[in-house]
Amino acid sequence: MKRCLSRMVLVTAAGVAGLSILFSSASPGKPSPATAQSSVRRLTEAQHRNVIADVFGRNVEVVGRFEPDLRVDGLAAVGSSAVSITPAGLEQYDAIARHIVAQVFSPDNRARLVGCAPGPGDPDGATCAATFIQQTGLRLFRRPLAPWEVRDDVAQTLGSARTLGSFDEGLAATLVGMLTSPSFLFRIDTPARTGRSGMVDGYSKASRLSFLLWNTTPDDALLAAAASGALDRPEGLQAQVDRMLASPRFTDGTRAFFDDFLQLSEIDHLSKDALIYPAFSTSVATATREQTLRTITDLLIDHRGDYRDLFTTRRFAMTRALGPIYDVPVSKPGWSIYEFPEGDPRVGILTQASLLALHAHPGRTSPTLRGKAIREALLCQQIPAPPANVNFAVVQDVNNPTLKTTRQRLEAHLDDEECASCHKATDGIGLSLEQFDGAGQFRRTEHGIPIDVTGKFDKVAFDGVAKLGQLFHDSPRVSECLVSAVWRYGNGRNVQAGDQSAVDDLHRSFAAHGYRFVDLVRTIALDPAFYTMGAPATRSLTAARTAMSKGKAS
Amino acid sequence: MTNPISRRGFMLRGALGGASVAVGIPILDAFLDTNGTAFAATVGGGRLPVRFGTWFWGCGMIPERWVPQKAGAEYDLPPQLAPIKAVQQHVCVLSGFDVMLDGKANLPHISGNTAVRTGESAEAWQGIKAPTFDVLISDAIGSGSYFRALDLSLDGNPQTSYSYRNGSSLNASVPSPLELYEKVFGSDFHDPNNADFKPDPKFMVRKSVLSGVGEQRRALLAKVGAADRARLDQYFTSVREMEDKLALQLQKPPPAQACLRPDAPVPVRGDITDIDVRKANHKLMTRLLGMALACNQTRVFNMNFDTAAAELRRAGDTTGYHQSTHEELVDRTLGYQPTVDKFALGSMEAWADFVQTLSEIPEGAGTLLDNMLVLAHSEVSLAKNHDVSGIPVMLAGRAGGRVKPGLHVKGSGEPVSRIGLTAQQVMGVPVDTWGAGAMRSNRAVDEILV
Amino acid sequence: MGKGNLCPTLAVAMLGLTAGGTALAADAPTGGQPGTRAFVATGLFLSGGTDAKSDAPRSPGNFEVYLSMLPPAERAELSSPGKRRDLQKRMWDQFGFRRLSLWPGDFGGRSQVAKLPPDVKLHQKPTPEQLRAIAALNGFPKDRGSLAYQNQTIAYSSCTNPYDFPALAKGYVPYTGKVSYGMNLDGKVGAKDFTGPDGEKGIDNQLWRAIGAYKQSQEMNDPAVREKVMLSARAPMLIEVSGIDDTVNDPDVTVRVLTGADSLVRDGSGKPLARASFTLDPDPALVNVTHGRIVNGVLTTDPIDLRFVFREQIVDNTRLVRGAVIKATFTPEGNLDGGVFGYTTLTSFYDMIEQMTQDGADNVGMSCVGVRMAIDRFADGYRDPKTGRFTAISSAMKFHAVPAFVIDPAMRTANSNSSQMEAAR
Repeated sequence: MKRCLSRMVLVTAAGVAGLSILFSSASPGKPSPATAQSSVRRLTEAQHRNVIADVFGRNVEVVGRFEPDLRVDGLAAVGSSAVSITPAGLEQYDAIARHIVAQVFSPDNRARLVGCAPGPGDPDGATCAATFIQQTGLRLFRRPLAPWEVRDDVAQTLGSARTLGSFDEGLAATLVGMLTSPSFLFRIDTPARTGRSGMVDGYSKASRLSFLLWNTTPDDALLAAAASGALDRPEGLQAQVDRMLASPRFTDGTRAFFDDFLQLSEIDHLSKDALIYPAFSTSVATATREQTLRTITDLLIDHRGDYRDLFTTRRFAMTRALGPIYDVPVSKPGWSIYEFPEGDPRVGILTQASLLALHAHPGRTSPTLRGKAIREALLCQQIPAPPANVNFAVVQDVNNPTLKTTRQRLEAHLDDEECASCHKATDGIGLSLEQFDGAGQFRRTEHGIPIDVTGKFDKVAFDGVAKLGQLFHDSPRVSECLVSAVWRYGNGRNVQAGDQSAVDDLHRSFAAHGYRFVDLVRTIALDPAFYTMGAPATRSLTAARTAMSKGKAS
Repeated sequence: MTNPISRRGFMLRGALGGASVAVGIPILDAFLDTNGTAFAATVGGGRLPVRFGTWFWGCGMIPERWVPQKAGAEYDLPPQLAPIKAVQQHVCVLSGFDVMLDGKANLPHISGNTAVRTGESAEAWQGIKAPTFDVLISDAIGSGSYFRALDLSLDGNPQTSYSYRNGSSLNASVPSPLELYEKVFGSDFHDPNNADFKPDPKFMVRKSVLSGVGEQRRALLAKVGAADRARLDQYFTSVREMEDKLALQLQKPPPAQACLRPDAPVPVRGDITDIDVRKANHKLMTRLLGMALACNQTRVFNMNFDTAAAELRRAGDTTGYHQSTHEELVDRTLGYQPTVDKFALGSMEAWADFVQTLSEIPEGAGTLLDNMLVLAHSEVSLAKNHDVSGIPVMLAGRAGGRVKPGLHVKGSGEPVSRIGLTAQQVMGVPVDTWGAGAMRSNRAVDEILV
Repeated sequence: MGKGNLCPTLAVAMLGLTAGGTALAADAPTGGQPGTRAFVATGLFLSGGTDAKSDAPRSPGNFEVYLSMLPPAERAELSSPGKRRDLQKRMWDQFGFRRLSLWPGDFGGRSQVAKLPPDVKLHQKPTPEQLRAIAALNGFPKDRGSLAYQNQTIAYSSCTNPYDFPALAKGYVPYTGKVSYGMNLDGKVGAKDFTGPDGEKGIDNQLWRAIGAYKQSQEMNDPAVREKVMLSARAPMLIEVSGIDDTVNDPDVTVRVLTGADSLVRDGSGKPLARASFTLDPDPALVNVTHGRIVNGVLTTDPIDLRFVFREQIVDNTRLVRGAVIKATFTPEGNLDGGVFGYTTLTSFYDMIEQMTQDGADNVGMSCVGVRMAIDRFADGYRDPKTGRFTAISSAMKFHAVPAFVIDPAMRTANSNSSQMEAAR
């Protein structure tokens, strides 16, 4: 089972000057060192698929293996600023591209997607090629093509057409080239040509906005706003932001953020011991991810709710596949909202099977893994790895006749002051979740012993996971972590010293106005700082505050 | 690894010199896979073709006597797997993968087989909704060889085949060794060692397009900061490497070293439904198939040892294989059906024979089997009950280095469509999800992938 | 019991369920309505007894019977290896069995295709009139020709019309053992009755007497064999017990026996998946309601006429068991194990046999004629006042059931929230 590490070491290809982005071991609580401001971010797999769907239609299949995304301090969005493309990865993108292009030029799609052909007025098809390349290039590259780019691509098309004896094959080959071009595979910012230095140009703004709100390429309306310069004016920007927030596609964007924030993609690799947890299967695993995402969007978007309520909500999205895990009747085969009654142990996303099963072993729970994951993802804290010479034998022996519960085994295993410093932070949370087994199913006892669900969160003792949820609800650190995560997700880098006060302001505004996720995203999207290029110090703090005070909830 | 740039220079000079460069290619680091194994064959990009085939036997096995206890390498061989001992290193056993019927009826000897081969069970072959996976694979890789695929049966019946393009389009089998000989090695034989090689212009165009992408490098690097320059440079290095691979395709392939046109076979005598006669016929057919593969006549084949609801019988016994599965009582002392057990053993002996024959044909630095992926399966597990859970599947070969042989993988109730998906992905079919309903899967069987 | 972190109303309900010491599967507060436990049966198996003697007489299947009817020379020839197909063909030809496909091209090419009158479309179930026309067009004997194999063929055989082929009952023997699983249904101890495995007298299980000597029946009686049988269970039986105050002793509970519209699913270990939700088959005739009592953890229901569905491989059969009693134990693992005892109607039982088809009967060593005549002979319940004949036969079926949730159609439109609020009160 893949697990994410709290630190990443990245080294570029051998033979090229090595550049490593190293995060040294930090003690719990401190944020990571700076990531460089990046104007080049590789598309994630989800973004790649979304862009193809938007440009060519949902019926065009995107098939193949993508170069894996890299998580930096938990977010693939930040990692996208650190990765490149390996030779094997490029071969895959090329294969994916050829498959896409074959469908684009198939009889079913050609008329709609290509629409022109060589004819009496255009015997070699140069005009048709130029039109197609410009129109498609604008959507694929998220910017207009330069005249020289169009010229070169048309020449390439005509040359290939001659070699292959077919205009379509020539144009298709050029399209494959576009789909493997760095301008498609990477989001590359362009500085604004005139006026405001340190800002990106209109198309780059459109791109950043669109990937933040909808996780895809800008649509026609947004591209038009970029072309006309509307995005450079506050009211023009606001009109687009509000339009996009009101769209159902904002739900997709929200899902993409929380999927990254909670690292739910790891569920794709999750498997459990079939004899110990027979009710758990790969389709159940997939359903747990969907459940958490739907629970979140139901609360935060459909009900414009308070983010903190995610830790105390009893409204869980539910489907038949999950009924056996939650031991509840599920009336419909599709998705619906199931409300757990007062007093039920299921309360808040900390009791959802996605997180509980993901951060556990194939055949048993792990309070430490759960506590660590919660600290790192939801509290933005760092937990270092254990030292190399730890003996796990005691905690792994589930058949120990005297140490019957996980709590007992863990306590026996932690015989050292040195261990306690980190384990206090993780186990205090994780042990309160022990009533949920390694597959997320509820149990009262372990080997006949009733499970003790007391815990400690930041010096406050509590009994039961409902209380833990309430503590998370009330903790400023939880909401601060969300704010900084959304900021990092949008900007593709970590918070540096110069950004900190802006992030603090964001949090103050978030807290003062009901902790609404929609409003948080809106504020970030309207902040001119979101559209800067280069070092953060060039940004004006006043401009940021002004933007925030205008960006109130509607 | 020495400086790759000088290698690239060498390659480009050679390629620019002319369209067809008929030189023996030295073994350079660039051709080695990450393990340093020579001629790592990749579909479409390497020098040795990877072949795919299926091997079908009817009436399954007796699970308690077939499924190994230990997972992973050096798995134990229960009694019905004892015959594969000599070839165990080449064979992966995949147990516990189920057919999920999604509420449909379990039509005896049909539902399991349609499910394994198309990813969705159907109540009749005519009702299948998609081609069988061997057709999908031959569509992806078969066009480069003289025969898109070779479908073979051993009972004289061309209808003994489980390869369908759609419900009304069965790929009929060549039903005897003699007919196979005539088809492949008869008067129309295409000897690969004599062929005139013509480079495919498609590769020229692809290479040229990539080269155009590479030309954007200077302009792009000028736009970005230092850290980003390094990352983009890595990307452009990858572009150059792909160009080099495409350049290779423009050169003549290496000779098929083991290809020797064989003599016409002497047909086997006796009742073809008797299992021993069948095994002899199978041996003959397998040798011809092996030579056809070594001579690059095809890249895809389907071998059918017998039919679903096997018509095999044994001289001296009163009931045949299929009847035995339903009629024979479980022996109280042994705990299983003894006649059924013998037939299952016979099927496994034939399989071992098949694998052994292919492993003895040299190719490249290894054998033909190293450059193949063979998927053996039945249509049921315990035939007595037409049980479609835990349908037995085995793989043989290394697929040119993409697959690890010699492992036992326990499926634990996972859908059997994961195996069909894995085979397609290994063979280069662009697919990430396969199967329907509860068998719709996007997860390959990672344990066997290199 | 866990720490006191439940609100009082639920705690009271939970107390009721846990008092008495029998541990329950649903040890979460959620888990459906309090006082209600529902289960899905993973299979229903006709059960009886096994002869202690290994050389006890067996009822012959069709091939055995037919071979014994042949002259010696032919018998020797057709008994020999590899001749099974020829034997079957000869038997079919001699008796005039017919089977024609109404769906061209299926069944491995062994079936011929029926000629169809112009008004009959392919793949559409023919009306009775159309069926008669098809039969006539294809040379079936007068008034013969029935739909078989899930309405995909038109057939005439010893299974569609057993009384036409009395010869195939030759050599039939009933089960002669003294001991059988079952229940004393009529309250009497009679000469025809069995003794139960634990010594109880008066056990009524004439169905076992009728078919128990067939090799197939003996095999299915062996638990080791039964456990490996396919659980295709496309119309699983659901048993819902409600109004439970105490799973150990409760004088009155309500029991509903229902049919699910969703198939039974296996879990990762190959066993039936517990706690899945099942939508009900909408047919009201499949809803059976009765009352029962629990004594020392054993549930016994009052008798009712029970209708359920057996849908497995090529068979889709609605069974009617009259005066049916369910007797089952709530196990420590949280399951329900027991049996259904009652008088299975001859019509509904034989329908299942007929659906096996002649070919099926040939291959599993049973004789439809033998079975038909035996159940007529041994029928012992529900005499038809007009004909004076018994219409049903005492029987016993074992089942193993795991926890499940029953989704009533009414519940589907209601907000699940409100039903949980009800539960919390």
